[in-house]
Amino acid sequence: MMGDGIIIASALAYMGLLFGIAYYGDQRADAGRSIIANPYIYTLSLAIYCTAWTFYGSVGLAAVSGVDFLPVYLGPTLMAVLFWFVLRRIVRITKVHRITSIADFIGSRYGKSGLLAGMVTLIVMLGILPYISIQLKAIAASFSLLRQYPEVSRLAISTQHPVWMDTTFFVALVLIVFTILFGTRHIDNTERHEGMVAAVAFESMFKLLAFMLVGVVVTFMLFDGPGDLFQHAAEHPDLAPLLRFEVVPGGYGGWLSLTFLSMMAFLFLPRQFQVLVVENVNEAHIRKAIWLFPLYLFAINLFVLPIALGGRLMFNNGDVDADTFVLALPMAEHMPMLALLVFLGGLSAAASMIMFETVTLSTMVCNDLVMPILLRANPRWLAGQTDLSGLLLGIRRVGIVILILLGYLYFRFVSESYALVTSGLVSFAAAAQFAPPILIGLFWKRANRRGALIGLSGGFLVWAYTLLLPAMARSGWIGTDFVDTGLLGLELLKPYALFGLKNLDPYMHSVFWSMLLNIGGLVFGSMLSQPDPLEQVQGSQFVDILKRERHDGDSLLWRGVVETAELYDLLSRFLGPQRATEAFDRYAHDHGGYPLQADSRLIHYTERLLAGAIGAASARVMISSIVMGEVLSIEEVMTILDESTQVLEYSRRLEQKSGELEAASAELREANNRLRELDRLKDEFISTVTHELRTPLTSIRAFSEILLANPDMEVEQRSKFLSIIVKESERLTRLINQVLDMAKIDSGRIEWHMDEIDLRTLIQDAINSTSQLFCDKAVALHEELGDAPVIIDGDHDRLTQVIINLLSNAVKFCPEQGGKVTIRLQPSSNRWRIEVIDNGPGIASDQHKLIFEKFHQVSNAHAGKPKGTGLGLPISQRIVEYHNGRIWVESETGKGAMFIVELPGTL
Amino acid sequence: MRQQSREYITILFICGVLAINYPVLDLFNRSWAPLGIPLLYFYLYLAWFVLIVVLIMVVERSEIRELTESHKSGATRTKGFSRPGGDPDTHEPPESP
Repeated sequence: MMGDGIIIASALAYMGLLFGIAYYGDQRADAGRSIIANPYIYTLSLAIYCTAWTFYGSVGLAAVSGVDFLPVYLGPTLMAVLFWFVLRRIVRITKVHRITSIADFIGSRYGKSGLLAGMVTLIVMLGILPYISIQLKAIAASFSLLRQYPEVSRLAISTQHPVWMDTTFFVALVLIVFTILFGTRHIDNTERHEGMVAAVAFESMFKLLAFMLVGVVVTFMLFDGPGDLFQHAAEHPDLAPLLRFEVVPGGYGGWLSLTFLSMMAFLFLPRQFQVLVVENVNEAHIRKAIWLFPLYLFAINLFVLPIALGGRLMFNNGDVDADTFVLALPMAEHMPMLALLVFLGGLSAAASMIMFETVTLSTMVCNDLVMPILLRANPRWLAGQTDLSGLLLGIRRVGIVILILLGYLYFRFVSESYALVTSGLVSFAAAAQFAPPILIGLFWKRANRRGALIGLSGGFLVWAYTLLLPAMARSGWIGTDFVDTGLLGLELLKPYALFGLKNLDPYMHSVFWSMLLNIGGLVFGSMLSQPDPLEQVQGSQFVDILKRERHDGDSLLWRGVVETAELYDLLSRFLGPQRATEAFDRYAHDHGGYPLQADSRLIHYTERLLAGAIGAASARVMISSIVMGEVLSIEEVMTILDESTQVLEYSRRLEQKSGELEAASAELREANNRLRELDRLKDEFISTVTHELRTPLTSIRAFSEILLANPDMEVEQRSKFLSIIVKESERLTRLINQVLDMAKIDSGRIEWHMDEIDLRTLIQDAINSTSQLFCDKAVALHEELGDAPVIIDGDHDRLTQVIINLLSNAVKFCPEQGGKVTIRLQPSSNRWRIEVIDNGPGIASDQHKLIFEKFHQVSNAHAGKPKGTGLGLPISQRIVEYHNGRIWVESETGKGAMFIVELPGTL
Repeated sequence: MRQQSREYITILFICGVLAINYPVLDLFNRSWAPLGIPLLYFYLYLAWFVLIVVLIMVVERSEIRELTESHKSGATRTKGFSRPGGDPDTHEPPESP
């Protein structure tokens, strides 16, 4: 017989020890010398995952379903492998944004949405009740069993007693007291509980040792090692199937869904999020936990099956609940000390879960549910309070009381009849609903608030309909009609076979439908709606967390005006004056004082501190209530939206700009060259023209002066001089006419008189006009003009000018004796071809193009004196080109020249 | 963590998922009991343990490499950032060097 006094005293002493550790941890933390700042404590604190479920429930499950207990630990092992990719991101984000809970995290990710955070809190509250209830049940059951020592028997169901005689109820009350003592002593601006973490680390060690001790005793003292134990089991007809996979309910599919569920629950159960993320002191600790935590799970699971099989072999008649084998076996073997140790191990596993979970949850309820409602409902009253930290603590304490009592009610009305693990899985499925908004939100920027709201509510409703309500119904709490026949009698709405999906075990069924709705809602909701700027900012800050070096991005979002004193007042209301002063002193120390008019950095600093105390969404509401003219302009958002994209965009634009500049400068260079060329041509033109004009002028003037000076000059002499003067004047006139023609043609002001003309007659006229020239120089002209008239469209006078020009040029360059010119008119494939051939000195091939340039004169070197104006050929070329024709020269030095004009015309 | 270690970890995760699920798991669902331990349990625990051992090798070796590399380059930069209790301003990540 073990007295109640001994049990209760040792339980209280053990809790006192934990409290002492927690107190010491908090003291050290306040002194700045944390005792939890090492990877081993961090890893041990993660083992809060192993609750009474693990301590008692695994054995209970293994005793009926064999290997089925393992996925719950294999899942977290696989998740631990992914820590570096997933957890590190979450931890980094949490530290940067001062996130205090999983509701805060989801709310922050989706544009600091208070609605979403509140919804997460509600889901957590409902979802976690079964989980809390099994802890209460485990403590009460183990206590009731132990006090009967040394007798071991199935217990009377405690709910048959009235509440005031129910052990579980008193357990709940004691836990409420301890939880309030542990978790709500003061408001911390980061919502961290170092002392509790230290206590959890200790109890993790304790429960591991206790469990392994039982395992060793069962395996090696009750039996001769594992071989002997399994031998016995294999020979037992009821136990042999437990060694094979076939006993697992749901088969391999159930196994896989259970693995998935526990992977997600391990990260996203509120207390797991708290120890994994919020209480993480140093990112580097994650690295050690990657392998150390799986090792812990491995160790605590090593003896689950031996204990389960041992229990089945020992208590053959089935009058002992398999969930209590861990305790019942040492009792049956008359080992009171070991039994007490096991009881304390189970107590600490269950109690630490309840305390940590409810503290975390009450913080969420306060920050994400009650405070936002108060802020919206009665901001004026709130603004009038000078110190709100008391109010915050009060809300949290009430929250803890309500949560634990609700857990007790769930136990009393629903989960009493279920095994531990069965109830716990309902909570796991609820926690898994947070996986899509968090994981997808970590890697997909477009995921937005509407999508998250749709997905989360859809997933939650499916979860409630397919798991929670049926569990309640089966306990007789609500009618079971809808479970058996479907809601409203519709087959398709049966909660265990939604839309006719049968042959899945209830958990896999629920996971499938809720995840389908959750992920689908998130993805399609996000695709079909536009996020507002704040959502975009938060989304890109969360996704790019590892890329960013500086995280003051959203301080840009505060563009308001507020007195620093107002900010201080606000902060001290929520944190208390002392902590607020400390915080502002620290800011002044780091930034060299603070301005009277708070700048955006100080506002942001205050917002983050506040976020630590009351959550991101509420903090934003509070700050914007005192900051005047807060504006979130799209331009500002764009500046921080996506740093990497922005840099890329920037460099792309730079490239584009420099490309444009290059093109522009090339164009400019070209234009400059052309201008310079034109300038040079103009200079050349002027100098040539003046030169050309001066030559005849000089001779006119010289001869005139001679005539003037000698009035009695001989008549013959005088008329010779006068004829030179006339000739030079004619040349001058011609030159001026040609320059004018050139200018007219170039500027397009010349008048053309297009008409039907006979090319043959035209050439004949030109020959007649120049016949005097041929006579003067005794040049023979040979005509090959054909017989028929050649009619084309053209300007008669201009074309005559061209032919005369060519003929006179030919005469000019003919040798003194034996000069010979041929003019030929002949058709050439759709065109008329006029050739003017001389037997002069010819033109070097490098000159063939140059002679058509203005004032270019060939053979200056040969003839000594220019024989023309240098404008004849350029003018001819322009006239021919105006007629869509072509003019060119074919010649070699010393072999005469042939000028060819081609004009279009029908034959 | 170095790129190579990340690749190892990814491979390890995939192998882990494959090893503890259908159909690989079904291969070990037999009555044979090596060393007196049923094959299914023997395999699951062995696979679990091997996974942990490989994890230790990958993670710790990666850390040792990083330490020696940072020693060689004379840098004293710490990975991640630490947060001694109660001092909010030390939560900031370090400026990039």
